[in-house]
Amino acid sequence: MPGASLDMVACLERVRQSDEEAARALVCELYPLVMKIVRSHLPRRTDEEDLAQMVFAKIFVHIEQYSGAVPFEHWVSRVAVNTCLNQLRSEKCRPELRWADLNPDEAETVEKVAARAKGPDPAEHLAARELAHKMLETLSPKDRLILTMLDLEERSVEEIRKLTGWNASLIKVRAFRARLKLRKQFAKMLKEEHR
Amino acid sequence: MKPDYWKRLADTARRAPVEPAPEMPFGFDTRVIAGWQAHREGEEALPWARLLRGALVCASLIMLLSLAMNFQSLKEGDPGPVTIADSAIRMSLLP
Repeated sequence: MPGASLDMVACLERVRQSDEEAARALVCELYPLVMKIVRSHLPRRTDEEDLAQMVFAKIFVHIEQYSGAVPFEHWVSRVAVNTCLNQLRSEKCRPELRWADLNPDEAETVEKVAARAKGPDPAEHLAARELAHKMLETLSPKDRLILTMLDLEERSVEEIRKLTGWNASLIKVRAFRARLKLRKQFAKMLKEEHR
Repeated sequence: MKPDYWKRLADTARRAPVEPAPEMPFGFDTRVIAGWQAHREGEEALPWARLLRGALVCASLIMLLSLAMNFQSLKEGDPGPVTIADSAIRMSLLP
């Protein structure tokens, strides 16, 4: 039902009664939300569509557990974040990023960031986003998730707490340590470049 | 104070153009619904599955128990010619 607003409560009730049409409408309604989360936390070797399908499978299997205490979209976001986190955990290998691993655009971005040169070119911003994600991939799944939400999506600690269920101090401590790691990595890359 | 390169990179990355809202690929909802249906069918078949699992466990226990009870005779293997002759004599002497 694209364009039409969905009566979520009625739709969920119908889904609970195994109504396929309602389930289909729910998938259409939630697809952009799920995809947005999946794209920002996508593990390297996972197809975004496969991961989105896993998220929806979990949503439907556990739909009986949704109590209605929070908006359904929040509950779905939490399921999506946890599925992404589990998928990130399954990627055991988190290689360190080296100067030689960067493509020319990313190398240029590193130089510009180091020189504090800010260009209006959207391509530079895209390269920066790619590089930021590459650097985040070197972190542990939890650290990566936290920094993506805090620094790239500009979410508050409170929002992250609601989405993950972790306590606020844990989120802050993890973010602090993860940023420290990334700063060190950045400094190391610049050192390699100047050799 | 050392410059915070990560913060600068994240600031630049945030200015990247927002990707357009993804459109659902054809057949995606059908795949999701099919998966959900399969799961529900699996759940509906669950009582039978439990019963069958229970029967399998019982059968395995009976098999193990009978093996344990007949372990001695199984271990002894084939009787030798002397044992056979001995038992034949005993049988012939029986009234």
